[in-house]
Amino acid sequence: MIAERRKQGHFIWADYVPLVLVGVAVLLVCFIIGPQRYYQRILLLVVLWMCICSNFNIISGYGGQIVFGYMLFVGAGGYTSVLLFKFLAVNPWIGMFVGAAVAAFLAFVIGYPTLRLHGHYFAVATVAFPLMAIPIVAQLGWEEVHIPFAGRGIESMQFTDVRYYVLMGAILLVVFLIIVRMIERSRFGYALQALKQNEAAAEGMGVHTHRVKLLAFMLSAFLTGITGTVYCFSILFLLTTPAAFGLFIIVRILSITIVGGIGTLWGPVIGSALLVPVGELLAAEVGDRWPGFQDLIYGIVLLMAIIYLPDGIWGKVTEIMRRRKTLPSAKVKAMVAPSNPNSPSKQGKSSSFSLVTSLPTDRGNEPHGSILRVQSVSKLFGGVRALQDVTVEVPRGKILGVIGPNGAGKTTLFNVMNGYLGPEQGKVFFKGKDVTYLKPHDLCQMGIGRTFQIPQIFNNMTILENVMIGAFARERNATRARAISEEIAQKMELTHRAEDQAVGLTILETKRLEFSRALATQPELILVDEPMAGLNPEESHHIGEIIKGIAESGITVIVIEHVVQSLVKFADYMVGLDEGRKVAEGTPEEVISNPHIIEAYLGEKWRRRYAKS
Amino acid sequence: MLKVNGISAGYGGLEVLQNVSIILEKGEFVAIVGPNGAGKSTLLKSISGTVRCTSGQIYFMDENIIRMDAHKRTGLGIIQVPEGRRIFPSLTVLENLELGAFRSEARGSIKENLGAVFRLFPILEERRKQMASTFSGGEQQMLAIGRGLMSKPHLLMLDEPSLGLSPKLGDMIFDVIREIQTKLKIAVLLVEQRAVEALELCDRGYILEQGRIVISSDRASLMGNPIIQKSYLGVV
Repeated sequence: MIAERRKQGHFIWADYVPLVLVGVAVLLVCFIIGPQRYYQRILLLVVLWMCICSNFNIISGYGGQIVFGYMLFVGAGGYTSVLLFKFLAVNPWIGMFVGAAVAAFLAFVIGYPTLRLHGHYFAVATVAFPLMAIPIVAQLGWEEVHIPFAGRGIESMQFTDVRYYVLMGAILLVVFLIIVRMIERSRFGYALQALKQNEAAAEGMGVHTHRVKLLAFMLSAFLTGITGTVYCFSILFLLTTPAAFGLFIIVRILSITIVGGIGTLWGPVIGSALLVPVGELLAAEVGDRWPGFQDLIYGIVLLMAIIYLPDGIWGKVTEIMRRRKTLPSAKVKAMVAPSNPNSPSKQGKSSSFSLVTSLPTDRGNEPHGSILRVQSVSKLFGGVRALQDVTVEVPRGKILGVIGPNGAGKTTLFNVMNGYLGPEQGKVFFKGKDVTYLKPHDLCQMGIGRTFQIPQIFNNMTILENVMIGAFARERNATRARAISEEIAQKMELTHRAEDQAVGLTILETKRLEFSRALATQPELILVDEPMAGLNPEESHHIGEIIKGIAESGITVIVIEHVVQSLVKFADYMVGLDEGRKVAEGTPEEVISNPHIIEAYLGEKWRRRYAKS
Repeated sequence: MLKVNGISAGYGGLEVLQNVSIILEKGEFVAIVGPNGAGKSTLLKSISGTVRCTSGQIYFMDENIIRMDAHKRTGLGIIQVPEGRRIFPSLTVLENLELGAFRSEARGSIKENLGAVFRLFPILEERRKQMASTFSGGEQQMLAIGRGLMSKPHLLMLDEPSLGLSPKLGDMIFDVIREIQTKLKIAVLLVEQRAVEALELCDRGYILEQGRIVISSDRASLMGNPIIQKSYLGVV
């Protein structure tokens, strides 16, 4: 029942109780340890690392943007509040938020340019900043800062009894875990996880990836800034740059999150609870004879985890649980619903995709029924003319097929239409508006959906969640997004698997999921990239039926396709490209008997000898 | 010599080839023609072993090689000249050719094979000290074929050798391929989109369409066969 209510987007207390219990457990351990300072300090470190790693997890785990220079935010938060306290006598409780704001500001300054970098470049770029911070802080004379002891207890955030810090840490931890859980369940969280797996696909689903990444980065830095203040004040006497900006911080963060399970709520909690006590106790045993022993331990553990447990302990646990849960039922499903390409195709005709919330059909100044107009577009790639003066009118509500042999410019035209490429010359109009240089996510918001040639499925999510990523393009409310997605999944015959993880799907299920996700963005026009590639004739026929169903519901479809013989059976209208030029246009019959097209596909000799024209 | 018996193969969830069977006799020239995406390259890769088959058998000289590693198949004399040439651009022509003679049977007769390659492609001898990266598309294709010949193959498989070449250059390459088969007595399996050119050369041909063989026949009955145009462009 809880699962049912959760699905409907209700707030479920049961989802949050375990998070509070973590805090209670910390306090319980604290109570058991009693006044033994040494063990209390270890407990405090455990809790603070849980906090820092949970924050790190937001941008690097869920968002997949690994921040190698993450220690900058620990240090920025801590140094800011300590310096404010020391020189301006600012109350640390206020300083804590100022420090957090400084950390978030730094994240903005760093993230704005660098988050546009892809892959490892962002991760590497961030390393530079803490490295630069250390000499700058030293130059300002703050390499070592004595924290004046005001001895006013809670007012100056200075406690001689470590247990107060543990209490603070426990409260922060519960708050952070709640924040993370709320992100997990939100549109923002889905967007983050989507872009982690595939930025291009996320963009195509209407996610403004740069903005989402930047927000996650700033939020993560802000929360770590807060933790940094508690961490630095709990040191009590002397704050040094290595303690606040040191490389060991990121090594520990990575070890803890990866061992526990990166990108999961419980990963940082598990990782820290295991690694920090072991590391501290071992260091106490042999640290005097072997300085840096703890770093050695973290290094080895990190290495082992990456090799043997890349998804971490929590990842392994959930994998085992999932396997236990789904194995028997998956077998039944496979028997009940064999991927029979013939049976769904019968329903293909009747299926229509009119959605819960239909769009206002604002046709603007759309000229005589053409929804998209590509006007005299040219595109160069290093001297090669990929497109030359191509003009295409796309009639509303129809299926337009674009064909052409390899290198004809099909994909380039497709990318100009969907915003991944800007042309050198020419314009693209959607519903009469110039959209030539708009980004994919903007076009998605305006009503242009797309599918990918190689299906871009987010496979850490369920099938329904995959569809929801699309629905979030226009629907902010998670409950309504779920409702829209369920309706589309039903029409696409995916309901029986909606709650399964999107792995191990048959090729047709994958394709149906792609179409579902594109439809969930509630488009007026769908761009379909080579849907038949690699499919057999029966499967191609099935895809054709899906596309016909979409067009019958009033959504315009543009199909870029190499497999002409499947396309001619359902396209209303075709355009033929060759060597970057439009060489044919008209009904499928006209286009496939066009001598230009015959030559492009079968060669000049064939056209001369055998083609009837 | 080669008997492909009902193989299926693909990538991930995609089954690109379905129950494909072809036969090639010793010294024969067989062409496989079909539109892009029909599975032509996948068929060659299944035979050379770089793509795993999910079912079926492949017999080469009466030995089932379907589970054999790709490098061992090369050892048997099955050589594929890949699509897009894949020559080593930073090496000279001679170095590229010598790398082709990796097969143990071929190592003893490098000089002899080199001579044969240079007789086929005199331009390679003229430019043997030149870096391969300075070559035009047609010359690179010659080098790629020459490299394949250096290993003294029993079966030479060519994947779209005319790709990216002008019709004239393409025709020249096709002529050389015919010469390889007739003079060097090497069996050739050619995969091509240019239907006429490939079918003109072959002894027998197969039409591959969406992962299936739709027709297999001798040259005469394939030339100009309307089924071919239907495979490429369909019927309304």
